[in-house]
Amino acid sequence: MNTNTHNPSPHLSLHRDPVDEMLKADAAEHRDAYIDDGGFTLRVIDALPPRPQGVSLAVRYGIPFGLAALAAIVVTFLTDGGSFFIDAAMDISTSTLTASSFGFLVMVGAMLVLAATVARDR
Amino acid sequence: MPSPAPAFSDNDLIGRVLLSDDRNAFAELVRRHQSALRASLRKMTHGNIELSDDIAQETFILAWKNIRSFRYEAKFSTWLYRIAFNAWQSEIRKKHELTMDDEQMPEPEPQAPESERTGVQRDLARAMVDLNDGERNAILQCYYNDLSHEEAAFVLGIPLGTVKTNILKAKEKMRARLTAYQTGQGVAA
Repeated sequence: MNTNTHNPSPHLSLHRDPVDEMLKADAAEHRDAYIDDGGFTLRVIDALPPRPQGVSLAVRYGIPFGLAALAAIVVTFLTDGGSFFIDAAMDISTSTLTASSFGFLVMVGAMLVLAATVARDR
Repeated sequence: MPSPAPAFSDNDLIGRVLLSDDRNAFAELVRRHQSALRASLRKMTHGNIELSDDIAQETFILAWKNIRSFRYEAKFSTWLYRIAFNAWQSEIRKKHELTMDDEQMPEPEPQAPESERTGVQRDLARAMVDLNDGERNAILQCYYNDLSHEEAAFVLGIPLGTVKTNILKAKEKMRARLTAYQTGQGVAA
């Protein structure tokens, strides 16, 4: 047994625990008995399937970033050269909740969540 | 025999597997841990070598498939024990379902030959017969796999307090059994 955790102060023990000692002795013998590989590793490696490939980082993060950039471009064109962003910034600076400021905050929030996800995964 | 001074740590090898699906690095991990894992499973399966090796192989294959979920919070060996324990549990469930379907009694588990056991080992094995699954699993993880209570709780998927209680109860039962053997009142196992 892992004595560091189970017996933090063995010297303070006033009486022996024969069951504990028997278990420790038997377990030590059990652990010392090395089982020869005997081709086991080779069998495991032969049986390994191709590991499922995770989606590459470029795809995983490129799609949401790309969509965000595309949305920003579309909004810029639809609002006469970005007046949406200017309106939203003005509304936020005056603490006024309008459709523009709300939409802007949602966009910023989504980008922050995405950035946090990237940071956690790295 | 295991190599005395590994050039790469387990984490280095895991890194290589993650980075480039390096099968040689994974093979080294298997070589390092196969003996301890197979020995642990032999203990769990009451010495059934064929079954324990099958579960050990399944454990390493699951580790390969799911290595991205290894978070370095536990040692690699502890993570393997957790996979192995879960694989063993599903094996028991499968066996139980088959038994229920066929209405057959389960086959007795093979035991290590009596001649290979010392008196103490025999007594311990007999004393462990009385333990329930939870108590037995806690003893196996904490003593035979040399895990801390916290690591055993992780492997078994149960609260830390339950592990501690199971260890205490198990030792109490075993103490009573062993005392009975010494005083000649042992019940035939």
